[in-house]
Amino acid sequence: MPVRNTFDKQLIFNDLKIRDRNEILQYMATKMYERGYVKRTYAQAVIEREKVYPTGLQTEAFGVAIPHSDSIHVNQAVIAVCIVEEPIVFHVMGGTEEEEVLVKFIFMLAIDDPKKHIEMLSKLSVIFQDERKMQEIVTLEQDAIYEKLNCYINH
Amino acid sequence: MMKKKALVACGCGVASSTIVAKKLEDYCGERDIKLEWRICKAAEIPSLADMMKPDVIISITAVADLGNQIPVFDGKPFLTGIGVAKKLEEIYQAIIK
Repeated sequence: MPVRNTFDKQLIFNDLKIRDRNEILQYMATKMYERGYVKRTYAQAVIEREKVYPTGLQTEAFGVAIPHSDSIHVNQAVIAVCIVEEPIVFHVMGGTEEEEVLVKFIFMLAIDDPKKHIEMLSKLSVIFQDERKMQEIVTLEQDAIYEKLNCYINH
Repeated sequence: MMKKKALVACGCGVASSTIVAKKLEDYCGERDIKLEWRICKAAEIPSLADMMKPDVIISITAVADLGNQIPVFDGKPFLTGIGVAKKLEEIYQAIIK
């Protein structure tokens, strides 16, 4: 069964002027909260988790981060997306404290039950590992990014 | 179809471990191995490994050797896409051993 509404048009950001990592995470999480996807505790949980278990990844095309929280802070699954103009420093997933990556794409994941979203998570990783797709997405406007991502994750 | 087991861990046992597990399941499935997997938090590895007795453990975060002969692999290539073919084959070889 195809995954529907994995993304939300209101949760695609590509014109934020924020440069601070925690501020961006806070901003995205707050928007997710306002749209009802996550609980009030989600923002703090994501920021705290990022400190202990960072989620920065260097893929072929760009630095990517997939911040997320334990499912107890989530009401309904969604992926918020932020493409920043100036890459932001994240720590590398599973890396040492010194290992950093400059992140261009933030996919903030709200996952209520990982078992229910295996395909979605798997497809998301296929997208962000695909250099051609990512190079294309980065040139698009908000609506087109939304359409494109939905198309990629449902096929 | 031969059945094998994998324990896959990441920071909070939600997203990253699921991505890794699914890729490994598909790879094994194409080679006629039915892979059963369970995701967990890194901290849960020792107790779950005891209980589940997996053929392999894959972890995103560094883990100490458990001293129980179960091979442990780094799951990061599954997420970055860099070096993933080699890593899949390495893990597959350990699974069928």
